[in-house]
Amino acid sequence: MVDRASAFDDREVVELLKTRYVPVAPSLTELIKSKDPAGDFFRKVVGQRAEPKHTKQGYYIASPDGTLVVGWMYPRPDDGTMKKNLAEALKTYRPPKQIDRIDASKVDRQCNPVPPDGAAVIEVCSKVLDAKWGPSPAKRVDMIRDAVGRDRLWILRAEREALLRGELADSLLERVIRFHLVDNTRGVPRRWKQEEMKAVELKLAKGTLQGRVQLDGFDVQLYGRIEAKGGALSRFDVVARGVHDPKKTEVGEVPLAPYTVAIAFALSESGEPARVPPLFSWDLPDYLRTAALRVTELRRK
Amino acid sequence: MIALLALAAVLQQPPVSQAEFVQLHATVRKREPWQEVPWRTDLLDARAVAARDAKPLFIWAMDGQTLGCT
Repeated sequence: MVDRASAFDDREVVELLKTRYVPVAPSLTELIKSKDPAGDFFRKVVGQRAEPKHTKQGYYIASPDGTLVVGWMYPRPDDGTMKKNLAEALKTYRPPKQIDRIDASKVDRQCNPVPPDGAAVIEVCSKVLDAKWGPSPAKRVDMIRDAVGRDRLWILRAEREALLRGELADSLLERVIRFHLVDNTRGVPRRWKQEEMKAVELKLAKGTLQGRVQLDGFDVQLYGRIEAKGGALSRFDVVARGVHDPKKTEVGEVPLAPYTVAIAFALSESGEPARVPPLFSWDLPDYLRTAALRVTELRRK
Repeated sequence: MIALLALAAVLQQPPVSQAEFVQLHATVRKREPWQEVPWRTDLLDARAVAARDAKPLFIWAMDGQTLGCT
């Protein structure tokens, strides 16, 4: 979030990356442990960066033979270091004469999940609308106020087919609530536990989704339009808006106080954006749960 | 008790109207400058392109999903 609002919020940086580099943004969490040639190559590159010692998060300029040119993580927010490093690396960079072939067909799918066959990919964004937080010396707090959190939602084939019939499957609704009615504007959030879901009053009728979800400390109103065209899902525009009253901070310096957050859903663009997996796909059995659903119990009430 | 009732009243939100839905859907999904960068997600695919085009790789790697929730 801080990177997006500082290091990449610069016209020259964006232009350099677009024209002079091949930019790639994998998940550190997954690729660092990936048991495949991509993981081996990644570990070779990031292993050459000595600092900081506590994390391998950050930026790396590297040759395709795996030689690190420069790697860094701080300062955060960026103070111009990004632009300086991008420009300086280009002055000294010499493409390698020989690059070993790597077999890219071997992929550790545990660490590189792809959408299940027939699934639809939805882009999910979140934004704080109103926060009565007091003044803070941390620049990060001001950035959070304006940040957009982003994630992906996978809709399984059976759930997508149910939507085409005008039905909202319990499994899809539970996934939306537990994993996507979250505030991810300030970093990786935690998912809701099933027992934290208190009430679900949602109706999908004639393509309009409307209703309310009550979670422990988060009361959410939803409205959306879900449409089909030619037997395919053509629109999944949904907005959720609610006041979140967290009992404890998930990220250090953000003060505890009720705040309003909105979450918006829409079909993802195809190509690279649709290849980004949902955050909680690291726990696929829970993320794609279709049985023993709390939503089913709540909808019966 | 009164304080609890007041808090509950604050927390319970009015329904999202159609007009608010349209406005929020656009506002929350605003495009940001970093999205203009043609990020790739596959490291070996990027490596092959870097080799072909004689360009350096720029790797941005964060916990979570760097292009998603991070």
